Formats: sequence, structure tokens, C-alpha cells
Amino acid sequence: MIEKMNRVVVIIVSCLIMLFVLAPIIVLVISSFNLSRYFEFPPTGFTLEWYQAFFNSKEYQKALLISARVASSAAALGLLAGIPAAFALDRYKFRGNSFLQSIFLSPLLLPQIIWALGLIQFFSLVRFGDRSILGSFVGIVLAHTVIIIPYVIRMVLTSLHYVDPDLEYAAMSLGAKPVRTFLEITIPIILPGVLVSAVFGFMVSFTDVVVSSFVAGTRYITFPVRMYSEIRTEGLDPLAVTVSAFVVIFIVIIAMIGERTIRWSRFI
Amino acid sequence: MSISPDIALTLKNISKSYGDLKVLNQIDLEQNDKEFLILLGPSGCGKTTLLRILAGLLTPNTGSVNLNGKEITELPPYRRDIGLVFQNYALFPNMNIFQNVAFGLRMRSIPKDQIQKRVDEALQLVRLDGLGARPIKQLSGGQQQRVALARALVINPSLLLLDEPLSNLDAKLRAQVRVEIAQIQKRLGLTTILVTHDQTEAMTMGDRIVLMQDGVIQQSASPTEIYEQPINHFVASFIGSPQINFFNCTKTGGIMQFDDFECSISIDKLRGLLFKDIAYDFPDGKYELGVRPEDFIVGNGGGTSLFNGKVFFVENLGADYYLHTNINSKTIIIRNPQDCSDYNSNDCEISIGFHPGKVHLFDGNTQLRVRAR
Repeated sequence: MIEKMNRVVVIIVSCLIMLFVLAPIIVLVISSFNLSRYFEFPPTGFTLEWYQAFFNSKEYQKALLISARVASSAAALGLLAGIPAAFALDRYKFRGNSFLQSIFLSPLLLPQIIWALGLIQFFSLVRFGDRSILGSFVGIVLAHTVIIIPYVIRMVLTSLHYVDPDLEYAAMSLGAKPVRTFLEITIPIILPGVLVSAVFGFMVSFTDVVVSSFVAGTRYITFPVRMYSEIRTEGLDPLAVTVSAFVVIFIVIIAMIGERTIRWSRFI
Repeated sequence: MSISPDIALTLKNISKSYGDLKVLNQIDLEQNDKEFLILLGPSGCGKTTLLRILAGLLTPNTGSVNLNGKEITELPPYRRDIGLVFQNYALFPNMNIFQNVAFGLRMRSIPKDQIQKRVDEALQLVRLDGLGARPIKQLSGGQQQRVALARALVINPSLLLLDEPLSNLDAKLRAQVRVEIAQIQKRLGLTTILVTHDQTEAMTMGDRIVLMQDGVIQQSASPTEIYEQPINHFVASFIGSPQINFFNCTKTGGIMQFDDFECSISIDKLRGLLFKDIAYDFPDGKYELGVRPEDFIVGNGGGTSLFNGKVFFVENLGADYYLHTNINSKTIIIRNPQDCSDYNSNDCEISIGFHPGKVHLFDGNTQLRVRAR
């Protein structure tokens, strides 16, 4: 009897929590089809004109493109740095291993605003020729890379736990040289973790507002930053709503594909 | 280096330390071609380390490994012609059975049709024929073990190494697979080394047992020899289930006096009870008599009886009885004496004697078997 009551309570609470988390997204997506220019819920009519406007809007498309370029560069760099680091941390016992791990994972813990403040000052000191990297493409990408690296390391480390060292020994005992072993045995096993961290890193960079606002400058305005400043100045623009809904739907689809194919929620 | 044609593997002076911890201490070992050798010993004795050195996964601090005339000490595992079966099987999770077994053949650039043929043969040998397409995740423990075995066998290695292959199987399966592995080894004529801590496995599977403790080889002999002529106290107690019983005693002049209870026996009479290989004459001092549970004579008096004991617990195994018996405060285990039906009552008093020619004698200080010179 008590167990049944427990189950009911758990189910109700879970549903409420899910509703609370998903409600803004649901409202967002539904509103993107709303006829009216002003925000109202429930919507009064159905229209696709805002989606049309989105596909015609040069500014938003430019912002999306910049975000995509920054996110993919930062994700790639994050993988390039994070994967070897994860291997080193997992495979080698050395003094300071845990300490290094904490340092590499620290960007996750720091309040982003404070870190971004420090980053501005640091960036203004780093110069190429007569220009500092503050406000440059390189600058944003580097800043995002630092945020992404901890995710990469954490996820690749997790997937490395699935790689039993005996697997690699077994391959070698059967005649596989180290490179062959890495390609045929190790990579297929860690690939889901690598993919997850790549996508996660991309998302983190794509949706970042704080760091990008501080470091971006005027030439490279990423999508979330643009949207944030527009909403502050112009108010809730249906175009912004629509674009956001679009991005959210895109993310949801990617997440579902990933979960269905390689069950990547294991690595988070 | 001239090697007898029969010797397949030679280990000379192998030592391995981790910092101050000496895991292997000057190991010398020879193995004949096609021989099934068992590395036996308790945890920490160094047997797995030795196996890994043979596999090329570890390098020894000193010494050399020679396989079929070739010095392989420094060679990485992929340059040795070995097959390795891991305790946890180490099957490649991203491949199915066929791909796992075929892996070694692919690394040796064997043509595809040959690979197909040989993998099928290997799967048949381990009784997994027809299951090639099955993914690893769907296999039971016993099946995984067979795949691991097939994978190592199919490449026809010069040396087959098995690291505790049965320890993850349940008891029934273990008994079954023990026989299968031994049969396959004989059939293929592979030079094989198996590591285990289970003395039953060692006794039933091996041509020769190498018993190790603390990084040192205690005795290297056939199962029969190691059972009937254990070279020291440790070997005698490790091999044999239930464990051998030891009696502390002291020799003075012509009398051997038991230390733990009132009983003494003349040396003349004792000699008739000892194994034939034991020295005829030995000095006064402290000794240990070793008597295996099955080598007692239990009766209700009579000429063979030496002393009396009280049975306080009977283990009934169906075909065997183990009688846990007290002589004063000393406890021994007696196995399957004639007519145990009376002994089910606690504290049943019995008279105990030793079977002639079956008693072991160890020096009380060195713990070594008192051998004839």
C-alpha cells in the first residue's frame, strides 16, 4: 500500500518537474507559429510568416553562421586538446594526476562572468602586431575552447573506463601493432564518447552568452548575443522567438538521433 | 645456445621487482614441446606476473625468455607467436564472434577464404559452430570463454597462455570446461601454460605442476609426484583437498613423541609407516608428520591404532565423509574411513592409525621433506 502511494507521488512529482522544465520550450515553439505580433499565449492564430521572415533575415542568418563557425572551430580544438589529455590522465600514473584533473575541469566550476572579466584583461595583453586578440575570431574561439575542454576530458575519460586495458593487450597478443590496435579497438569503443563531447562542446559554444558578450566585440556577434541585445532594446520580437524555436527543435532532433543510435546519455 | 629438441620454452634467472617488492625471484624453468604446464600458487605468488612476462606485456628486470630457440625477452607481444586467454576474456565488444576469432588471422594477412575455414574449425572445436554472427554482448560467461579460447587457438600459436580461464565460471561449468580444455590441448598438441590458484584444476589438467610462493618456485613435478612427494610443508598443505594434517613431534633416541597429545611411537615402527623415499636415518630434533585425510586407519581398537580421538562434526558429501576429529585440543580431518554410519553422533570416540607407507616426514625447522640422500 505504501509502495503504491510512493510510486504515485514519485510519478506526480516527476511530471511536475518535467512540465516545469519543458514549459518554456513548449510555449516557445507554439508561439513561433503565432499570428499576432505581440506575445500572447495561447496563440490566436497560426502562421508560418515568422519562419519565412527568419529565412529572409540577413542579420540573423549572419549571426547563426558566425555562431556555427565559432562553435565548430572551438569544438574541434577542444577535441584536439581534450582527447590526448584524457588519455594521459587515464593511462599514466604520475604525481599530480588528480591535481591536473581538477585544474582541467575547473572552468566548469568558475562563475563565467568573473572568468570572462579576467579574460578580457588577459586578451588585451595578447597582441598580434598592433591588435590584441580581444574581439577577434581567434579570441572567441580560444575562449570557447577553454570552456569546452572540461566537457571533452570528462566524457572521453568516462568512455575510456569502458576500454579495458586487457582489450588492447589481447589485440597486441594476436599480432596487432599499437597503431592498428588504437584504430580497430580503442577508437570504436570511445567513439560515442568523443561524438557526445563534440556535439556537447558545439552546443555549449553555440548557446554561450556571457563569455561571448564580453569577448566578442563588434565584428563577431554570435547568435545568442545578438538575440539577447535585440530583446533588451526592441522587446520580444516574434522573429527572435521563431529563430529560437527553430534552434531548439534542431537541438531536440539531434539529441534524439544520438540517443537512438549510440545511447550517448551514458557518457554525460 | 644448444637446446634439446624437446624443450620448447626456457626461462633463465627471471626476476621482477616493483620498487622494494620482489615479485619474481630468479626463476628458472624449462618446458617441453606439447607439454601442459600449470603455474599454481596463492594470490601474490607471482604466477600472473610470470605469465605476463611470457606474453610480452611486462619486461623482466633480469633474465631471458627463449621460445623454440628464439630469444623473445625484449619482443613486444605482437612479435611473439603466442595465444593469450584472459581471465575476463577481453573479447572485442565492437565485433561479433566471427570477427573476434578472425582477428588474429587478419593481423597475419591470411587470405579471406582461409580465414573462413579456420574460424569455422575453431568454433567447432569449442562447440560454438554456427554462432559466428552473434554479437559479443549476447553471450553467456561460458560462451564468452569459448570464444576467447577459439580466438587464441585459431592462430596455431607456438605457446598458448591461459590466465585463470575458469575462475569466472560456476562450479559445474568449471568441471566440464576443465576436461574440454585438457582434451583440446592434447588433440592440438599445443605447448600450453595455464595459471591458476585452484589445486584441483592443476591436478586434473596438467602434465606438470609448477607450484610457486612469494616469487619462488617451490616444486616443479607431475601431479602424482607433487602429491606423493611434496618437497616441503607448503607444497604438502597446498595440494590435496581436504588439506593434509600435520603432527608436531620430537625425536629423542629411538622414540618419536607427539607434542600435542600423549602418544609416542618407536622409530622402527615409524619407518614402516613412512613413504619409501624418506631417509632411513635422521637425527634427533623437531619434526612434522604429514598425514593426508584419506591415509588414516579408523577402527575400534586393534594393532594399527596409535591414539584415540573424538569426532565432533561429520561432513557428508554423499560418496565421501569428512570426520572432523579432536585429539585433546588438536583437530584433524579424516576422510572416508570404512563404515561411517556410527559416527553421525557427536563426540563419537574412535581409534586412529596411519596407513603404512603413506606418512610424510618434514624437518621441524626447515620444513623440508626429510629425503634420502
